[in-house]
Amino acid sequence: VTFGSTFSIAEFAFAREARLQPVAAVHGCDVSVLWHQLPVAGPGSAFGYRQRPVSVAPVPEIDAWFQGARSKVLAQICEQAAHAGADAVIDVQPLPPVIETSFEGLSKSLSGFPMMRRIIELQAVGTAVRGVGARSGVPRLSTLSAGDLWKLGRRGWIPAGIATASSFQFGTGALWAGSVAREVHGATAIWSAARRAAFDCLRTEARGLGAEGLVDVDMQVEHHHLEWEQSGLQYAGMLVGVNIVASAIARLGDAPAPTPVTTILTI
Amino acid sequence: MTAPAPFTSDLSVDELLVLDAAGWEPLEIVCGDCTYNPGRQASSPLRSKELNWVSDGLTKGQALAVQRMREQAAEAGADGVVGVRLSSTEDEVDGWGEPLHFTALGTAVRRRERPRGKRGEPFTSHLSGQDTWALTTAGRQPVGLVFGFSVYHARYEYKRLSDFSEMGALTEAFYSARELAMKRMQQQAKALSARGVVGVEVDMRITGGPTVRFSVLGTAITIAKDAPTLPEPRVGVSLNRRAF
Repeated sequence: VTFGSTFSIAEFAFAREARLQPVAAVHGCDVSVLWHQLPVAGPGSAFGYRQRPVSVAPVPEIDAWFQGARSKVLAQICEQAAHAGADAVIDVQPLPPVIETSFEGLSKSLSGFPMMRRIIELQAVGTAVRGVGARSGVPRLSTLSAGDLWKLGRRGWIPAGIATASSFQFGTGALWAGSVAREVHGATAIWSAARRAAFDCLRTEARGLGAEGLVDVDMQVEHHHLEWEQSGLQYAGMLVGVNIVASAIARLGDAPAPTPVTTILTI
Repeated sequence: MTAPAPFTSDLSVDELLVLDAAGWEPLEIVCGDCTYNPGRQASSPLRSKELNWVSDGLTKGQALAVQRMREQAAEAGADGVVGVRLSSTEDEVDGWGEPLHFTALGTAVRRRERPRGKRGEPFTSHLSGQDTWALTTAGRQPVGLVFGFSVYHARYEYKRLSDFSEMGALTEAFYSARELAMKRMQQQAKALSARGVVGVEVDMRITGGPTVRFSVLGTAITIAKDAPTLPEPRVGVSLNRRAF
């Protein structure tokens, strides 16, 4: 039977070493659009937004939208792999997403708080393989290459799935410091909140996958500054988003003794 | 009994395995954030000078981010933070008061055989897992991340299009900024009682004005008295697209 794969020659060699049999190259894709009004906590200020204390609020709708889009892509990959009789998909590589973002409602002529409009195209490719061992008939997923899995396997680690997390936080208030040299605490708070929530979400996902750890973390961060006026009041806000994709790993029994590290001068 | 929380890490598989072999275990990704406005500082087209308030603002912002990352690591019971990446959102710094966001992100790690209980201040290092292994195997210990910034304004220099000559003021500004940034990094290392600084990364850029921004980053290390040497390396030929 002819197989398909995304492997390089070396990865193919390692796959054989790791007793992984490539079955098919698989692909998932999702294009979706989101319209969402950002949550503005607290009133604006007639004297300028600089006087307002900073209020930070999560935007769970954007988080859920991102997580949903990623889940659809991974589900398509799983479905294709299961159909091909594979028990895992490895080397899952997200292709660079195509994202278009715009904000409506920032003009004085429009009333209402800012509305985020976003179109995203997510894609991922991977190689469906046999030999990892499925749980509940659902193929396991991993972003790791055959070589990485071979090395992890020698230390008693197996792939446990792909963990993903999204966290968007929107803050309004005193986000600019003028000419004075100092920390802009409000902006720091928004960044910290977004990062902390994303890490918490990632850990929860990993626990749900029965994982003991996460490696190969890919974290993308975005931020947008917004200023607008409504009913004579001024507002300023900042949206910070964190998206993370990582490979979950779990121990299979007791860990064998580590292989002594050899230093190699690579040519 | 509940299962221990899974570790999170910013490590590659190679880093995880090599640190594991050296007796280190990852705990969690730690990240410090700080948005800092370096303030405004005027410059004259007639005179080259360092925009010292701005340089100081960059240093303070980055230091706060690193300090917060280290506090998270200490809270997690770590002995150190490896693979630290420093970044800032804005590249254009020319003394006109735009806030920058600084981030310090790394993986908190703990020595397996070390008894639980009170630990000292965790070290920070921008070295990879492989470098950390090589360093500790050779009896060197990372003690802390050190960095230096200098933002230097160059005086205006008239040149005709036909003048194919050196922009002397700009060259001098680069030299001065580099000296100041390096000196500040070395001062930080000295404050940590370090023997030296390794893995130094340099970033220099020129913005409007013209203004030169020079930043350096390294890991300060100490050397044990009876430091062993690394095993003799073997020669290998990589056949991979990726480094396995």
